[in-house]
Amino acid sequence: MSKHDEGKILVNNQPTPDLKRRQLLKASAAAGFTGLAGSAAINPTIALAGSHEIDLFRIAMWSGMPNLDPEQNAIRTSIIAQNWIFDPLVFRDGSTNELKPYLAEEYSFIANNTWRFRIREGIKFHNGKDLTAHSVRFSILRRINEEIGSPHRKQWGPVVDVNVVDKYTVDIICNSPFPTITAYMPILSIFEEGYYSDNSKEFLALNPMGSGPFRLEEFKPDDVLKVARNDDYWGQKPVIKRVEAPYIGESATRVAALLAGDISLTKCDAQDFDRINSSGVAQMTAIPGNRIVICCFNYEMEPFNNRKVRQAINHAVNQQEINEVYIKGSGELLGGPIPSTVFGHNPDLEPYEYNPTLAKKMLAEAGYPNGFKTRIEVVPQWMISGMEITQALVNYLREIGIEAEIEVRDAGTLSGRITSRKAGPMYMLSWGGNSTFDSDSYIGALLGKGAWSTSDMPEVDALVAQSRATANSQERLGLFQKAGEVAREDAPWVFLHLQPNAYGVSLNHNWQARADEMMPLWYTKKV
Amino acid sequence: MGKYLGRRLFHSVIVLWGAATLVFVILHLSPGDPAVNLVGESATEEQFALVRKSLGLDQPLHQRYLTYLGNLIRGDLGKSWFVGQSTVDMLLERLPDTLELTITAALFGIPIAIALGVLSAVWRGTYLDYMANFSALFGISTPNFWLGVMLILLFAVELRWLPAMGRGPDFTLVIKDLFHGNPETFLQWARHIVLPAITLGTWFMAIITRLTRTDILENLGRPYVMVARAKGMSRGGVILHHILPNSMISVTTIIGLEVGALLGGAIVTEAVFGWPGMGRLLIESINRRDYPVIQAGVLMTAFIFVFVNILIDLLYVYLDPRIRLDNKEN
Repeated sequence: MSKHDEGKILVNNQPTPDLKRRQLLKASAAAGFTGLAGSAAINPTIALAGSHEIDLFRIAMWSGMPNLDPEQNAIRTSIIAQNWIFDPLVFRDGSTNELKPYLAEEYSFIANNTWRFRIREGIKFHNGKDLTAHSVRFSILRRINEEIGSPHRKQWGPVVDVNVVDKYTVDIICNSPFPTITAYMPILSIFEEGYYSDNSKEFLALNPMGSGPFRLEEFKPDDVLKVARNDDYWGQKPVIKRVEAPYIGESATRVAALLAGDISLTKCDAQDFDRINSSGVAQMTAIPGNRIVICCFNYEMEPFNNRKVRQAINHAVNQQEINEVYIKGSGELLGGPIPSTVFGHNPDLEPYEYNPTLAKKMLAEAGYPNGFKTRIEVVPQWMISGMEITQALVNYLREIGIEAEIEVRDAGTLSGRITSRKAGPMYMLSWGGNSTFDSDSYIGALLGKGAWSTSDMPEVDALVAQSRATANSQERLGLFQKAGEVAREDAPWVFLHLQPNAYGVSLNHNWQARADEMMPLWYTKKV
Repeated sequence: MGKYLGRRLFHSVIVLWGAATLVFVILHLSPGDPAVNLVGESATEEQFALVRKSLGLDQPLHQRYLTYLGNLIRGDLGKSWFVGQSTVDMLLERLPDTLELTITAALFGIPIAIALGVLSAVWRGTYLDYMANFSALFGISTPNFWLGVMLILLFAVELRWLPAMGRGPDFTLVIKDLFHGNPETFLQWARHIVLPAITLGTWFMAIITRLTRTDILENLGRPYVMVARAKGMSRGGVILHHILPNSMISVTTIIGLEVGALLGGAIVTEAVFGWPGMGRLLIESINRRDYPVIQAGVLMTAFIFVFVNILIDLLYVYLDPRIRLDNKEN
């Protein structure tokens, strides 16, 4: 493997195109939901022959971690760090992205809207207490407790109760089949009941305690997190003794710190790919993830209530060129709302053909032969090369007579405008679907009546409602694929691409990018 | 003097109230919804509404303002919506880091600036003057974030002399170890602070260099300088004992006025170097719309600004005998 492969992204340290990897992900996304029972757990006990211990591993976090109580935040960097301290029942396999039992030994849907989980025996929390079915019950009830006000509560809405069957078996009772329950589990942390009942929310925000591979050493909100190896870990003992995760918001500083050897791992932008790969001290590791990049239309603002205008704009934009130029060809072009890595993807949907002549013709047919003026709102940090891609869109639109001006917003502002349906007429958005890899988190949120939608699609709403009423994965797949077809035809967005999860990692470590945006460290070793 | 101080304190309270009101109005009238950041991507409108209610954001603006003002008078600056901790505790935890950086930047900038200003005035029109003018111009026109990144690339990435980010050991530990004869901790501290301090101090240094130079040039031609020289006093003596103290009045005024700019500059510098100060906390809070932290942060910055300016006012009395005489005559 050459570490100086300029212009190419090393997908999981392979200089070859990511075709094989992507096919693997496609297969796993489908496989993750074809069976309702899970077994063959992730084996965290595989020995790492010849690995040397790492005294200190430093990861620069790209956004602040204000709080480490899993029920008091929904911030990605906090979720990543919580996964070092807590263990989930189910986790995704890093190489296939398939959902696998983790704390759970096995799980299954046992009818009557009930899911049964069998927990591993002999697992202890950092305070020495046993992890049992009671801990699982407590954790799930804490998540859905209105008083706690977890930001994840809504996703767990179908859960009615949790019954302890025996010390290591638990039944989760739902009011519907709740087919996506396991997809939400990788970020469900299991708590020690005594510790999480006795302490205040303020205390727990700063002092997380779980059963994970690392235990808390020091946490300063929005500054730094230090964790130390849990030497009594039930699974594979990490090679890393201590992890330090300072927050560095500036991307230029993060890359400089990586190249200077001050940190070993961080998230990077496309413009840094070549620089990092040719540095001789670090390299890029990237993988198609779950984050789609789209430019949405607001159906309540003219002329975007006209389907033909929306379709014309899709024909006017060269997706392929944007992918090649701004993310070095590492993205996957979207033919519909669901990317290939997510369950519900429809492989028959092709990306809109780039054809400005056809776009102009369609625009004239829609009653706008001379184009019109519009606005695109963007939060550049929401996606790789956000500003550049928006600028490219403006240029494509100009070719068919549409004059678009760019309005740069901050995240809080644009989020508020979208959820109140005031954003637009056009706005850039990236969406990771809460790392569930399930269409429900995309179609159900971004289209029709979804909380983050500015479109009006009753047919899709009906399909989403039907998909939520069944646990049959084949049936769900069909419904989502149909919804994808409807969405492609209705063109609620300019379909752009699935962006990669890209990181810079020092050449001394073997960490590899994961599709689910998580950064578990127990398998990281020296190379 | 007491009456003067009382009047200044009264003005300060009005300034602080103005700052608190302004930041409240700007925050609450600007677009953006904290609820969206709190509950994340998949929430529904009902969930957003619930969060808004729990934060009191469903109340009319005047009611929110009165609640805020009432809490402020009681000394309650609220809790962070995202961290769940008291905003005062959070800011007080970060304040020493920001002060450490700004004071080091000022200690680096001020002596160099005064020396450069004096030298370039005395040797006006020489290469030394041109060089001093060029460095002042460079300092004034160079944005903090650019200079910071350039310094990181040169000293951390290329030369590998200094770390690219973060802060070194705690300053109290540095002092303790120095007393115990262990300079290693100090060196570690210095290695971390040198680049952020230069980044932050350069602009400050440039402003004071220009001001000192102008002031000294203005004084050089004054009759009292000629009298001192005629009485046989050396040129250096005149500058050191007569001109420099006189110039210090305007320099001190500028230092007071620029404290705000220095604290503002610290926000950018802290972000570039990952320095865990108050500025970075404010940026993160603004991004998330964590109103209580932003309000408390702005209020604390305004307080520091006002406090430093009162100190400067008091310093005038000692620097300028005319003020003392005026006070006595009054």
